[in-house]
Amino acid sequence: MYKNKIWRWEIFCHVMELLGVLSVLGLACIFQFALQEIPCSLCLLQRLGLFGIALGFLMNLRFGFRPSHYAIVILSGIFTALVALRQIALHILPGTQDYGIPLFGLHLYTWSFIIAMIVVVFTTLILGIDRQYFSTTNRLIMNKWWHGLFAISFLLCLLNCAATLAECGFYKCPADPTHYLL
Amino acid sequence: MAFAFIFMMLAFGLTWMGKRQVIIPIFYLVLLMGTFLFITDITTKLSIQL
Repeated sequence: MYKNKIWRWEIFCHVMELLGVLSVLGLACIFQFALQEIPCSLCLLQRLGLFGIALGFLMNLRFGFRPSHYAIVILSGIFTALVALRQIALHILPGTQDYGIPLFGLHLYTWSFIIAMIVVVFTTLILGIDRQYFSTTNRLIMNKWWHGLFAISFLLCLLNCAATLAECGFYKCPADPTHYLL
Repeated sequence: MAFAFIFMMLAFGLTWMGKRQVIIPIFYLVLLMGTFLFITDITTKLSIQL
């Protein structure tokens, strides 16, 4: 009963964190396609890091809770935070131009840093719950809702992949893009 | 950059299909690519500033 309760709590935390990260990535896509904001190279690297975080959570849900999956989440979180911090540093001085439209008073790269740090701290806290690793049958039974969650993640990644190909091709992305290559 | 996204998409697809063995090496490859691109970005801007 106790193990079951812990397991359900862990699943809930994972789904919440996953939905948070996916909504940020979805919002970035809305900014890109609806508001015609072409992402810079650092913005794309942050998206890559956020996808890494989502991948770690999805692996935990699909294959059961393992420290190696949490390692993926934390490494991706640190990577996202470092890239976001670099972009914040580029625009922090007075007189330097900022990049993109602010959301609730903060730019998307600042939100990206905040979310990455929340993910790193929260994941470090939940990976310390030892009981989750004892059960050998902590894998998820896939139903249509879980398949839907996996499908949304995959399609979002596919959309970003296509958009990156259209923006940069197979070359290095420009720091301040003004148009799509294709 | 596009290669990193292609490999990430592959990792998502393999997770969905349930093939665990190759996902972790693919992820570390993507992370390596991302780190390389990040360092390239920093050094390019630094060389312009200097």
